[in-house]
Amino acid sequence: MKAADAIKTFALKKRLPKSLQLFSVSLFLVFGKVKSQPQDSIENDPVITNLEWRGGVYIQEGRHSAVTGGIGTEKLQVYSNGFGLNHKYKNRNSINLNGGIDIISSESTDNIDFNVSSASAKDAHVYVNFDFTKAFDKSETYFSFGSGGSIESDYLSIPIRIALNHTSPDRSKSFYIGIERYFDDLRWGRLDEDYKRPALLVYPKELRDTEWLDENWRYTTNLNYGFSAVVNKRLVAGLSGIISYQNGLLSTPFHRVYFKDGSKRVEFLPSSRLKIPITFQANYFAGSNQILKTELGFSYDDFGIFSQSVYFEWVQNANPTNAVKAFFRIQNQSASRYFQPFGEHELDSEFYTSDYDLSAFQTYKLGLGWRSFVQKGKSKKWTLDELEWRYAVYYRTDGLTAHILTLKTGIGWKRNPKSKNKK
Amino acid sequence: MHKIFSLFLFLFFLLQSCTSVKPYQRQFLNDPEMQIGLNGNAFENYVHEIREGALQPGTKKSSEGCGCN
Repeated sequence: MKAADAIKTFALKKRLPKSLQLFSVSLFLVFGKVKSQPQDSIENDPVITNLEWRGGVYIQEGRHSAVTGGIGTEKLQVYSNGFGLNHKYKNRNSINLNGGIDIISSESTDNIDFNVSSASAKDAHVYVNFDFTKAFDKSETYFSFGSGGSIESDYLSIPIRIALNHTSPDRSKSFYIGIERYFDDLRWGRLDEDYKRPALLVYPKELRDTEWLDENWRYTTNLNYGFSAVVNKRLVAGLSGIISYQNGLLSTPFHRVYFKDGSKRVEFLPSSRLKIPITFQANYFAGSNQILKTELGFSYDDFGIFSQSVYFEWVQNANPTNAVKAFFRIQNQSASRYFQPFGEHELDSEFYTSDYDLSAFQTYKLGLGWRSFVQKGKSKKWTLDELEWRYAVYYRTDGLTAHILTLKTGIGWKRNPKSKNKK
Repeated sequence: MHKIFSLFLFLFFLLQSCTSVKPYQRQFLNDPEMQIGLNGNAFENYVHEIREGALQPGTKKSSEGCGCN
């Protein structure tokens, strides 16, 4: 309360602009109920550690590879292995560590320098992230911050993030807001024996006599926010969104673009991009142990892309510990103003891409899943938390298809904190 | 765009008028599947983010890769 009062008083005394006064009053409303937890009740909270394993397989086929100017194979396999470690202690503070490795096998990558290998070109993507969350009081206000990093042969990304999460005392409303910033270096060489440092951008082999791009870094700033509420005993709903701003090198250096006169260049996009997606969700517990989940999404992108999506999931609780689910998703988007198919770009275009991810299409995703809350263990301290698998088929109307299989399981370890007063 | 913004603003204020549910009435709300959050999982939503031009709200990118292929 003292901190919140100080914020409010400072804003009014210093005659800050109205926008800043409004922001400081907002801080007052958020932190108004924040107060320190009495020390003696912290000591008795159990310590809980959860370890989670996530596996995934992604198999893709397509015929519009951006590496070859919008034509050519998009055959791709990704085998993903990840882990998550969450350690909760002292009044719901927690440390979260997650990471993993994705093995990527891509035929289109072969075509960057036309060096076709017996198996398609392989790459590995390794990542690790950590977050620290502090709970303030029993009304459940959490503050978290974190960082991490990920690396591929031609990409290094370092994020930093902070977030605030608050749930009302009657648990009927929940609110979060967070900011994250990514620092991405697109240079290749740090994993190569001859360089061992970020050395250069990877252009297509026949275009390497020219320095097409004069920027190596990409910066992304995301403002994330969300609000959810209990509507009644069977219905919860939520609203969430992001305001995302990117600047720096937004082109992909090894993407080719072909023009009407037959010439070709490296993809060139503007050096800034604004994306504003927003989503409304509603989950309803219907009779006979069924849960109906819906999601409606809209996204605006100043590259000229406007997207709408609808997601629907049906969950049937077979018994108190097992659930079967079926889901589908439909998405529609308009093309970026900078996109043209192979050989359709005008020579005097300021920006140009033939990446079909930025084209006009609809996507359809259909899948099944099963989730089991096992909660069993040989002792009361150890539990096998859950088992879950999901399989989905993904189809994009430009001909790209994909199969997505994911598995997840985890174990938990719960114990009481050691007593300091031993007699 | 203005109509969509107005729609979401209306939905936001509609959520402000929700009722309070007592703890002994929360047997349906406490089901894990009832939690508001990412539908699908991080891997599926990462596929959406890479293969579609649109960004997914609430996506916690489990990895920060280019995903350009």
